[in-house]
Amino acid sequence: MFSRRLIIRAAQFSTSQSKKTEKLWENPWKHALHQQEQPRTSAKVLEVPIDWSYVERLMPIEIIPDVPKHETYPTPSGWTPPTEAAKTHSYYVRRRRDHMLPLYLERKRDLLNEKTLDFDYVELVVLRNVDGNIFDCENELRQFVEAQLDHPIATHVDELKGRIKIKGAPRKIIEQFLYSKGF
Amino acid sequence: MSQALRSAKERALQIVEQASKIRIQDARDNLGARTSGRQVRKANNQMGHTQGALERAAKPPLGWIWGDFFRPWQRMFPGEKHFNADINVRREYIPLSLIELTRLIDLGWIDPSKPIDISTLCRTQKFQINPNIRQYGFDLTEEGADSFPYAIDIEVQYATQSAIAAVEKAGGRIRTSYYDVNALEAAIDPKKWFEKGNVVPQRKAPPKTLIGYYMDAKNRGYLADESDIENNRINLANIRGYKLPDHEMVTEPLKTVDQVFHGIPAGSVISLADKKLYSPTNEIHREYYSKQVADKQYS
Amino acid sequence: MWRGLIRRLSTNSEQIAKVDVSYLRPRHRILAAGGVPPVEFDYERERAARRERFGKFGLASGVSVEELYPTVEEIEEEYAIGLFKELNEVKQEYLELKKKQDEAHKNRLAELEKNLKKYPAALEKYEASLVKQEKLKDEKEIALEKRIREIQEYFGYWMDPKDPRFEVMLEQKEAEEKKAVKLAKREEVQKKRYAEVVQ
Repeated sequence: MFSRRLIIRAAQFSTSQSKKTEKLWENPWKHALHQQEQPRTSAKVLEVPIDWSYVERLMPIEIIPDVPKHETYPTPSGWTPPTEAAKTHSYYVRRRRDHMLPLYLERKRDLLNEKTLDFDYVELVVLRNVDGNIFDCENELRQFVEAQLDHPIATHVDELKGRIKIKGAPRKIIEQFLYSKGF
Repeated sequence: MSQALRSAKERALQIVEQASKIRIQDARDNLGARTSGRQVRKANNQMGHTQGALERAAKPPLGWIWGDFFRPWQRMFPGEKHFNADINVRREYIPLSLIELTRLIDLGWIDPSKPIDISTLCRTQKFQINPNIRQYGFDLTEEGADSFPYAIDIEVQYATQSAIAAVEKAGGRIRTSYYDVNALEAAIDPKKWFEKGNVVPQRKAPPKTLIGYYMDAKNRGYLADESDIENNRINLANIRGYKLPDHEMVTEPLKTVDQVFHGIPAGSVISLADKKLYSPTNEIHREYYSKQVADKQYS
Repeated sequence: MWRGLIRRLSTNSEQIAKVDVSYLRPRHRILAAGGVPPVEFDYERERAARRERFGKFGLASGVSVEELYPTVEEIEEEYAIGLFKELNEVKQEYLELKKKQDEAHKNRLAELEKNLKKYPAALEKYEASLVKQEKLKDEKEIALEKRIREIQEYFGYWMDPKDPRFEVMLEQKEAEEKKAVKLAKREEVQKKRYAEVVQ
């Protein structure tokens, strides 16, 4: 792109007449019209057979692909599909459209730290897509996480939206909880 | 201090003296000459701060210096001369960890049996590469190297030794290769490129300062000899203490040095509507698209 | 609206098919139906737009494939500018540069090796020079310190030797010392005289 423009610009420079005594500004039209009458010799082309699968594999993926069948779960990256055990609880956590757990990280501004004069931030993990009895979910989550971490955590339940916000626990442990319940 | 004592004329002369000769590379655009967005009105473009807001609102934290346009703070307090001196020249590579790659393969976004390159990674629409801000591709990092199971054929722009070892341990093949800006633009969104009716560009070789990396078999550079790379592969396995698989798992041929897409030669035009490929037949165009050239030093 | 409905009901089915209530322009009607709109605007005659037209509609667009390529003149211009070097040339340049750098590195290492051999002798010489200077300094310093201490003890409080008052005090002390010496002499003379007288 850049090089093409540069070439055109350079072409304008290169055609400046060094031999002629007439100055450019004496007859600008002549100069301008001269530019348009450049000879154009175009290429010759030929159709070549091609294996179209090479082009198809370049096109963007527009639909989330199905997960291929794996022999064992969890897969090498630690992903597991939802199991039957998930239906036994009084609540249900739906997966995201891309087969991942609905866990999101959030960072919110806290109070001003008077020593450093910088704002502190709190890091929260948000669990979304919780259906059914969300308070049961919150209870069991709290028990599981506190047993792992040995310190209390703070949670906030938004029943209307089906979300639980968790403060003081890493996402990994909440992921473990969800997998252990079969979601 | 001495700068202030000298006259403006002297200082200008000094600048000219220190300046290098004008070269062809200097014909490039000034910084910020091309913008992707519309310039808002100057009066409104105050980066979230206005002089008025500063006057009557809460004051900024200590250490904030309200800009004097004619005497910017980096000239008032010239500290480290070379601190971030290459900020407009250096290249950025988007980190791609092996664990991310594993997850993408697990969930079916990437087919491990086919060669993986920038186009394959970008077609998942999970990565953004913007060549205009000097992002030059992917950097394969070693997170998840302990348990990387897939024998893949991958091409990235930069890779750590641990990542190389992890891929080769699993029986895969890895090459680091350079994409110039034009080729990269085509590679990150081929559909857009074809729909614009652009010719498939020729991939230029890296410039002089970067060619060393891609000629080094240790980095599995695409300009290195294959025999050298094979030796290095065995050597790395010995150093790291793992056993290479007995038989070759990746047998597909590599891309040529100037090829952007697998199976599509440089200089061809693709019509997505007709599913056809055209290539030039006259001598000068064929030569133009097959001549191996290196990229500019500053692009 | 009612009038339109009545009219539509009153006409036969062929006419109904022709009625279009979408209010799309003809161009957009063609686009929506998946056709190729005719070249209408000036910008569509420009090169980039013609390329895009080919990219979108393929051969049906009426743009020839030859147009998509740079012309021979443009390629020649690019060659004339010489923006890009050949790969082999750049490889050679890099190898030469590397050779030069390696040589410089090697020379530097050799120089360091050479210097390291001379190092013990040089260190010894330097340390000897340090000791000598210390000794010279010591004699001078000890004399000065002694004097300062004497003065300070005499006046009974600490005084910076750089202080201008110190000079004055020094003179005062010297004068008093002279006086004391004089007094001592006189006393001795007097003692001698007494002795002579007593004998």
